[in-house]
Amino acid sequence: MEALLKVENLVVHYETHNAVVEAVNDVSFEIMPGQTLGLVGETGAGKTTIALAIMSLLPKYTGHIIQGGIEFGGKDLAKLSQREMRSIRGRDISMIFQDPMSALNPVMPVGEQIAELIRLHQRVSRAEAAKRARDILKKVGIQPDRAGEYPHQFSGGMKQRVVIAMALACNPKLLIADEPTTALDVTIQAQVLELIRELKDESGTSMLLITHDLGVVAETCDTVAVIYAGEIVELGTLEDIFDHAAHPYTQCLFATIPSLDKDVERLQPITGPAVNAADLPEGCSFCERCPKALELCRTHDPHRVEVSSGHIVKCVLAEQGLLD
Amino acid sequence: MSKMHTEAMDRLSRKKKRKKKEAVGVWSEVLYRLSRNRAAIFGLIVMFILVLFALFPQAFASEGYDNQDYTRIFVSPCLEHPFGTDNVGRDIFSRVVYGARISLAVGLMAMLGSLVVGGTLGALAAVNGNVSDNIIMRICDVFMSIPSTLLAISICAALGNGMTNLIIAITISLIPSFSRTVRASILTVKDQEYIEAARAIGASKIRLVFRHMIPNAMGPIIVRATLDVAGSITAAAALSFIGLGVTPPTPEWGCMLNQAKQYITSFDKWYIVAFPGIMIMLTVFALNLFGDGLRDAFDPRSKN
Amino acid sequence: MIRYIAKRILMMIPVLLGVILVVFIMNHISDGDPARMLAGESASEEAVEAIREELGLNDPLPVQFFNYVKGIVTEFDLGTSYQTKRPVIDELMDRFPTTATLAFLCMIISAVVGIGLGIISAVKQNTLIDHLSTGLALFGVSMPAFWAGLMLILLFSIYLGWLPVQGLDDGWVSWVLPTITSSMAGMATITRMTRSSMLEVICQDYIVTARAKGLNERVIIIKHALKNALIPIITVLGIQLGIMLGGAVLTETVFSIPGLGKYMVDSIKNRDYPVVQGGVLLLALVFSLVNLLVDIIYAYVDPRIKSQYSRSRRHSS
Repeated sequence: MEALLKVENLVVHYETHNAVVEAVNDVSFEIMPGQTLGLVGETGAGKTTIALAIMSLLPKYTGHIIQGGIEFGGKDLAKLSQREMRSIRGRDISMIFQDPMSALNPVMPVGEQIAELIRLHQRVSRAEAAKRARDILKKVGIQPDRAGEYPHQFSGGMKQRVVIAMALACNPKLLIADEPTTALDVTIQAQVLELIRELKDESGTSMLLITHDLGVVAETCDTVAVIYAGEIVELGTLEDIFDHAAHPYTQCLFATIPSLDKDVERLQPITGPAVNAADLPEGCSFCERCPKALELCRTHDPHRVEVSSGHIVKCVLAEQGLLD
Repeated sequence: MSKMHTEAMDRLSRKKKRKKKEAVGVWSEVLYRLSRNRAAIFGLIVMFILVLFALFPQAFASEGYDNQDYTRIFVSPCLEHPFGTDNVGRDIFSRVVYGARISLAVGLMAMLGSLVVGGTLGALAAVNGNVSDNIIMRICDVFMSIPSTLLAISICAALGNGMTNLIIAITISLIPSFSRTVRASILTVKDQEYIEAARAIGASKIRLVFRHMIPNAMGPIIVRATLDVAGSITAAAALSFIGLGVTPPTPEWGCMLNQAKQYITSFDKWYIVAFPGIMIMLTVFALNLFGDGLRDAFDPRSKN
Repeated sequence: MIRYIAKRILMMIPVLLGVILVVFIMNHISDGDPARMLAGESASEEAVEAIREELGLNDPLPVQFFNYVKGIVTEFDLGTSYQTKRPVIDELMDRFPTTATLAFLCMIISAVVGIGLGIISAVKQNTLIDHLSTGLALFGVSMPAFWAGLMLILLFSIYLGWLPVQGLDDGWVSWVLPTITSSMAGMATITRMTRSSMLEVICQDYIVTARAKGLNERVIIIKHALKNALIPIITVLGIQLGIMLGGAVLTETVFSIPGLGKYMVDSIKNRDYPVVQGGVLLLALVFSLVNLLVDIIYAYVDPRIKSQYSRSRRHSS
């Protein structure tokens, strides 16, 4: 089967007047039709940047794609004109943003914000678009007669439902969900996640789910990419990652979450500060914090190694066959 | 080091080599950013020259500000009289130089006056809240519902002419908006979490106010004060222009324009209106450049 | 909405009373005896005393203030002009339309030009156009209007001879220079405000959302960014109108326009204080009404304020 989205050797830098930030470094992954890829990593690891690069919504003056290809449905998105890209955004690829509080236009009724999108991509009348907007609101669990209300009249969870409705209004082929539940109350998080999953399955949409929550990944994803300092350090199926985590960083991540099966005295924090993306080390980016670092790690930046079919690890240990 | 080297990094490292010192601390960072702002520095240089004019007019002016000489009325700008001479043969350049003293004095005094009175009122309103806040703010509302030029004019009309009355009138017209600025910036800071945090770790009230609140609330107030000097200078010139405030033969710029305006019946005498006005504009422009620079330096986010 | 407007009008009353008090006090500070001024230099002491009694100038100050307010509220009585002996309100109303027309014209021009330039400058941030218009705007803010007026007269009326030097007797051409002169500062301020407001709005998340929808940049700017950016600008417009009403004093003096402003300046020279203070009061009232209007528009444009006062609150969280 042909991949829906294929990101190859993507490098993205932010160039500001006092620093060049290497946000994304040589990232490659694929998403199959109907599947969900989880992009996991801590804050500042470059997850959102990858999403913005795919949407070609990087900040105009500072964000630059230095190299790499983003192939979507057989087309190289990086080579498309702004105009062609606009017809893909919102229709074929749509996005759910992290903070529903600020993602909606405060002076436009929510129904209109959804209808605007429908009218843009599907040639329908104003009335038809409004009707479809109400339908989709109903689908995400909002009373259709609230379509005329403004964002401030909704609670956070409800706003995120509106954002979801907007993202799914045109039945996109790919949905990028950038930490869709982070800004929400814990009690709402599960509901919203469940809603996304339901709607996605119903329409057969593929999804790129960005999160730092491994629990969310376990429930939602087919494949997982663990990202550190703008690099995918480990990529594999849900099973590969959860049962056969190979990269020290992935292992550290699992050690930070409490488990019901194992009797752990204390959770293991990852020590040390995250690496500064404006000044990456010569060798492995994780070596300063890595419990298994070798002397070699300081000077040698490891290659990607496929440890089993589709399970890729970027670590010196994997290169030397020293993984446990 | 970097994973992937780009030209942008080369450009940056060349740039970094040129600038040596990295600034530390809030104030030095503000100064550093200000020093990088060419427009603000230009404003500062112009201000410096004007201050020199004001302090040592004799050093720049070729003669006194009221040297009348009927043998040389309406001389066009030339080497001897770079700005020409006026209807009674006074050297306009010399008058303009002396004028800096009056404009800057009025601007500075009015700003200081409103800083002291408005600042105190605003701080009282913000710190005490409730009743005093309400009373002070309602009084401000009253004064702010009279357009400030008009307020200054009517106060000056009631008090009568003279430099002191001019300063009083302008000060009063600035006080309400100044106290609002002070109140607003203290209120913003007061609710910040770092104030809570400082309180939580047991900082004394005095330390809280002087170490945490004032430095953080200072930015908008300083910017406002700078721009108010500019505003006062324009207001003083405007009042003198309509015959209030400073009276002839004082070489106040607005006052000079008031006398000059009857001679613009022919184009050859352009210089008698042009130069005093250019001086007002230059002063206000420089102060505005500097004020804008200060604002950007205090709040770098506001720039982009 | 009606509740909101009613509340705002109620809030205006104490403020306006305060303004009257300020004007009343200033009337009292002014030198000169009103009765003597009205009676004339040659009038006898008895005649002056009679007028003083009639005007109630012998009453205690609070009583005088009460009567002053009563006169204003019941019959717009702002006193009598020392010069013409006509009621001040009549003199003012004769001239007010000219000033209002000028202020209104300037308002429209500076709003259109200022908002337009501000948007262009924000959208084309850091380009030549942006630098040019921000530079011009800074000049505009720094230029004293009365001097700019003099320079414009010098250039267009004296040197080029295209436009009349003063007065309003030559039809629409005579409005050109005064309008330009008193719009300049407003234009510049509105340009600066619109630019910074736009820049702030453009980096909001909902603009990224709009881009993610696939909208083109023009629609994003006009439909999504502008409406949000203009909300703070509405307040600026109100304040600018006040500044223009105040500035009318200067513009009208420069161009000898027979409006309220020039009349007030002439009255200052003639020590006709009731006219000056009456003019201040009238302009303050107009300014307050404009600000009331601004607040209403504000509430209408910003749904966050509107819904606070509308009845359909059943869903609000």
